[in-house]
Amino acid sequence: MLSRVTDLPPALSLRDIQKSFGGVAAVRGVSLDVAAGETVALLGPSGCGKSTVLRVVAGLERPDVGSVAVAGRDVTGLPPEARGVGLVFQDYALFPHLSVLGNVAYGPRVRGAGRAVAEARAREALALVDLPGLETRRVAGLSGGQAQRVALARALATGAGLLLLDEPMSNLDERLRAELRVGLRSLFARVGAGVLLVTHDQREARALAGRVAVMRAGELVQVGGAEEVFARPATAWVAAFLGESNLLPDGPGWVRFVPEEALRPGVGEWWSVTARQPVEGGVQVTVAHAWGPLSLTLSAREAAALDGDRLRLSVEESGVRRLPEDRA
Amino acid sequence: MTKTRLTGWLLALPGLIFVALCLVLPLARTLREGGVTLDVWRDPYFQGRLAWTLTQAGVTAGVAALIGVPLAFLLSRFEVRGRSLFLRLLLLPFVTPTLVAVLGLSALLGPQGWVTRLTGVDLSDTPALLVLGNLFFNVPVLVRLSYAGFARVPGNVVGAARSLGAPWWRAALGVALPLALPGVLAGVVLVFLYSALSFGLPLALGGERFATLEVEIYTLTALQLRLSEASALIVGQLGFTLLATWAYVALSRGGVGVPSGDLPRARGGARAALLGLGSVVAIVCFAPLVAVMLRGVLGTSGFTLAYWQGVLADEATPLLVWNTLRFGLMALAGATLLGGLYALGAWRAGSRALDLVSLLPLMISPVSLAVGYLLAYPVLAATLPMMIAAYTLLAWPLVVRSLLPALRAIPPRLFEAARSLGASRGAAFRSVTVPLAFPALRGGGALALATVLGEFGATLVLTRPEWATLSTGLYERLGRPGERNLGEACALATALLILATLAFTLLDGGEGEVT
Repeated sequence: MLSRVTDLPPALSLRDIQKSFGGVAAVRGVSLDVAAGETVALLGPSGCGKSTVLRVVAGLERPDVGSVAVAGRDVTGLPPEARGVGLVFQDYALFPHLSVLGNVAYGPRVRGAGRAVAEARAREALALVDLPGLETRRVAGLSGGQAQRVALARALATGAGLLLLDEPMSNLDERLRAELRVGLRSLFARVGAGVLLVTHDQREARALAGRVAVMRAGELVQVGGAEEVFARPATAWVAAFLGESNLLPDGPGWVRFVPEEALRPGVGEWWSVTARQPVEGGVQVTVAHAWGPLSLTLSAREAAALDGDRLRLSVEESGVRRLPEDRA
Repeated sequence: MTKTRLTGWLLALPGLIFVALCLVLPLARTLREGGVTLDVWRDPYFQGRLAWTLTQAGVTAGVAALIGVPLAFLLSRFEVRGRSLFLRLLLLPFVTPTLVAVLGLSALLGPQGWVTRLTGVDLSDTPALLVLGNLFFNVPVLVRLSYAGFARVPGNVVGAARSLGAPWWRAALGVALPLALPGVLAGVVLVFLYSALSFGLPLALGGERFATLEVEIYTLTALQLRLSEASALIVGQLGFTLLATWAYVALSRGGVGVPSGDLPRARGGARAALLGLGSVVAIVCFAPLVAVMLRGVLGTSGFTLAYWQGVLADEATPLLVWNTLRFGLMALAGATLLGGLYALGAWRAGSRALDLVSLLPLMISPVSLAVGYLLAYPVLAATLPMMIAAYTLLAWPLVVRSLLPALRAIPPRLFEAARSLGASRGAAFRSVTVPLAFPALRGGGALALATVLGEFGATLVLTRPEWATLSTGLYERLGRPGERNLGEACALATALLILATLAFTLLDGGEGEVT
């Protein structure tokens, strides 16, 4: 689903990356491209090896096997400082002995820019993340959201063509996250860099990324356009990880995946309701269907169709998909 | 072994060679010369000496814990005005030369001491004086280490215990103490070690009846030349020293605590306890210092500047000051260089063994070492390099012990962030690691300089007349009888104390941490 065809080499190209720690394979053959200007989310549960992939790209870990190319240049053997990538750490890793401006100007400075040039670049980057006026502050006094933006500005100030973000919002509260999701999306569009975003939060991936790569136990299990992956998970594990609950056994090795969009409450046969619970936007009910328990959320209007402990429900068969069962 | 670890060991190598040449070899030489005949330990006399050494160290550690641990807890839990000043003042005993402490205690509690004359109670024939001297040096160690331990316990954990229904004392004993226990125990072990191994204090304050093993070793080697018996004692002492040192290293993991903000003010019982314990600590740790200073300006007929005039008029005094400063700075340079490299190496290598080695110079009997110097390097005896090496050996661990925790407390992410922003290994080291660890290096250096300025054990064994320092001048005046010499010794002691404090304050940025 590449939205535009360009002659530019991809901002990042990973080929068969493998990495073990003390005999335990953390990454087992990951290949992935990030085009210039594109945002890719590497999505997976904690411990699946996604942060290791990020550290391999940044040059903080050497892969056992495989190659890393940034903007068409093989950087596999290069140290972190020679790779030209901007990395934002999960805990931000701001330098406590430098001011906000000192932190953001650090990259240009160590790359040989004079003080004036470096500080001008830093101010630009701070304006880009909408954080002017804090230049002289010590980083210890910043709020979580401010620290996050300083870390982002610091990575942007180097002008890298590839941005790496490690769980960028995991340390922020819900309101800030909602704000940042909007802000980051437009920021990525303005900067035009390739972005590789590591996250375990599917909402973050859905909101920010054009493409999603789902990772499980060191391997990519599904890669595709964000909407495609969320609408059509490839296996039962992916569907479950993305929060789908209607995965019903359908013969050995297979499950029947019934997305909520395929459920039509209020029409068809009566089924008994075994559980109900008020949730945001309505009431969640579990129906004892012939295939197995199906859960769905009824809006206030749809809830009127409930008759005591019974509900009419039909399933649109065209929306139901058979998925291989790959959960342990 | 990874490359980083290998680099670490390489960086630590100069320090290791230095320790091998200036500590292990002389010590081994002493032991070989004596031949180790463990039969000595069957002698009830020496068994009694060992028992007394351990007892007085145990009593010191126990009393220091009883006073210091509760005080440290209260200081960490309540907003106390002047807390940081108090904790910094507690560094004074660290930089106080042993002789100055002895003078101070004698001025107060000696046979002619002010307190003795006032109360009529003479403690000078009891072990109380020795224990008080031990406490003077060691209560600050325990308060500062325990404070760091308690400060690491998050306030909300104690708050959680309170809200679950625990009264404050149960929250303190059941939650805060177990969490801080490694730091507290490390402090207790260190106090025990320092007290068991101190030499100057028991020599001057204990007398023959309360001589410790260390004094016994000194008597056997330096005065009676019975090396084989001394060797056996040294080996026995090494045994319990290494055991205790290992316990200390194992207990003292973790970084320096950051006290949480927004503490409540102390009220009621807590306030009374803070005031009471704080006063006891202040008296134990500061009264001897005040006594020395007063003794330097108070004669039998009241206030006088005669002692100071006598000291200042003496044409040897400028030489004493110059030598003290000169040797101190040379040792500081050596210790900073060797200690800085060694701390970097131990940090990169992540090795507990290197950690342990850096404590050895603090733990090994200086007397057996000095004798070993003379045996191992007869040609170099009474040369300047020998003496500077001895000083450096004393100063080196203080630099390492200060720098190493600071290096370990730097999150590795910061270094990685610098690398990914374009800094080479060297540039990241210069721009991130060095500025973050520098305050600790300054603190360690300051402590090392202050300690060396007041050193007198090694100086006494290795010195020549033209190398007299303030502390040997002080020792010499102490040996002469008369009111006047005592007064002048106190004036010199005051000068030495001021010099050490000044050096410490100038060099230290206010962030030195001592463990």
